[in-house]
Amino acid sequence: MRTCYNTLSAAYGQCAPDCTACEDACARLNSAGYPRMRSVHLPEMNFHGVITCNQCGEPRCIEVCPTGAITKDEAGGVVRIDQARCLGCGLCDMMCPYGGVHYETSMKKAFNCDLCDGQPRCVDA
Amino acid sequence: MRRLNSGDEVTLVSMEQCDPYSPLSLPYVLGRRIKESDIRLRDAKSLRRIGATIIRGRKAVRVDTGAGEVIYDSGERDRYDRLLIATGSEPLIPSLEGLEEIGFQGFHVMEDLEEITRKLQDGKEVLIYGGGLVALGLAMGLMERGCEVKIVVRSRILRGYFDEECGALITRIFEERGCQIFSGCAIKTLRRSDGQVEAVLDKGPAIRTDFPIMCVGVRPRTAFLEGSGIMVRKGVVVNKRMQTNIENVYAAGDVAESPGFLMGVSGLSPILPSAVEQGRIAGANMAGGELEYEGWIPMNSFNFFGHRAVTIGMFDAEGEKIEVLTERDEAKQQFKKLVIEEGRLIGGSFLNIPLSAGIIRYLIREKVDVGESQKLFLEKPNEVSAWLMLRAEKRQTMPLGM
Repeated sequence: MRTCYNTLSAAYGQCAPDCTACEDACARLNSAGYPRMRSVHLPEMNFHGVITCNQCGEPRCIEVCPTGAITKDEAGGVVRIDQARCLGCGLCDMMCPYGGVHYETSMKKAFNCDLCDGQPRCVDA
Repeated sequence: MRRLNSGDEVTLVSMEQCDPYSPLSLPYVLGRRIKESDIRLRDAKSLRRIGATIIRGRKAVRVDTGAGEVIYDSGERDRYDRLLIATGSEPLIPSLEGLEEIGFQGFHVMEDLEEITRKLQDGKEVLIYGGGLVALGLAMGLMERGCEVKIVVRSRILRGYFDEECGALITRIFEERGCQIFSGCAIKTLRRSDGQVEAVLDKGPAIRTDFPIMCVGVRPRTAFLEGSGIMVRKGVVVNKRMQTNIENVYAAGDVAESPGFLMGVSGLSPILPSAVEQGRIAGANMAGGELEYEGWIPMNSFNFFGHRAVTIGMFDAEGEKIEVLTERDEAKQQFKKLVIEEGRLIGGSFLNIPLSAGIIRYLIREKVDVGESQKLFLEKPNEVSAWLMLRAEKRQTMPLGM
């Protein structure tokens, strides 16, 4: 039996070229200051979109984390990375097929989208 | 097993006394980036909650596959209906004159971390013999702790993970931080001298240190399987279902010799992601499931002093059908390498390149056709890899929640 959760979706085919509004809002408004949603602009292929955490049903990142720092909230389905237990090893980023993890080398930590605990800032932007 | 709602009784037996943890965390504890208490994966209580028991401090010395029993060093025995061998790997001991007298110190398990921490009370000059990821991770942890580190390596550092160009950039970064690296050297003898240890090399002057640590590689821990009838070559041989030649015995992780994804040959893949995936498949099949392993892909992520090095797949492949694209920027300390075979990515190597390593892994796994965009891929690996992934996933909209 699978549980269904609330979702967010982005019609990325409609992203404006070079727009970084969602990424900026995310970086500005979340606590760590690093964006968990990243814009991807490839004008050569006329492609403009975003990548972020898909909140997978069976997250590979959780499976591979050496300290168990990543958990999936049972009620809301949100995947969270506990910064206190994050080693910054980068394995979560290595296993996520969707580019859902933002690995911040300077901080030696990994971040993912936690849906802003209900009020995603990117949507407003 | 629990995901399949199996009610089977599960017992984990470990030769270590402490709660389960990943050895990958050890350099970070040594470097004081994280506390020892924060690296525990499970304890007896959380295991009980999922119906599993853990027995600590018991070492298996023999397996009787006929009777279905594991025999321990204490003489005690345990019966099993199905057995998973996940005994991991053990450190290789180099044959050096004087090593027995000085005493072998490795860096593999929690006990080693504790012993090294004790030794550091008396002296902070450490010599590491070896240049792989364990050696470098150890070096990083020690340097972050303020130790003076010297590395002696028979060839060059990270030879098994990065090519020469990238390896040279990484060497320089370590040297800039005060680490002395002696490449192309072997230790001939170790001996005590004036309250320290002296390492005599095959070339150049001898090196002095407070204590040496051996990190010259690992091999599967399989000695206890002698006489059991379980097939062991480089490791415990398993098929796609993680099953050994004995029907009710499975193996997973560092100890297993399993099918590889890229070359179609079996081999060892002693990395955490492989261990976890193999364990999951073995567990499911032991509970009556029908999962098949797609095979391991070599991959490593090494972050050090604010830099990040990533390799995935066959980073050093060469051949007629193979195209290799590289670009190096010494000033920015950046390096990128793509290995493409018949239009498909089979390997990648990146130093300080912002991108999602998992997307590169996805492209290799799914054998995505890179098409005509190879040069653009090298120029903008972050954007092109994301575009290729999203295109392969045929996404019109991007679901951001589940």
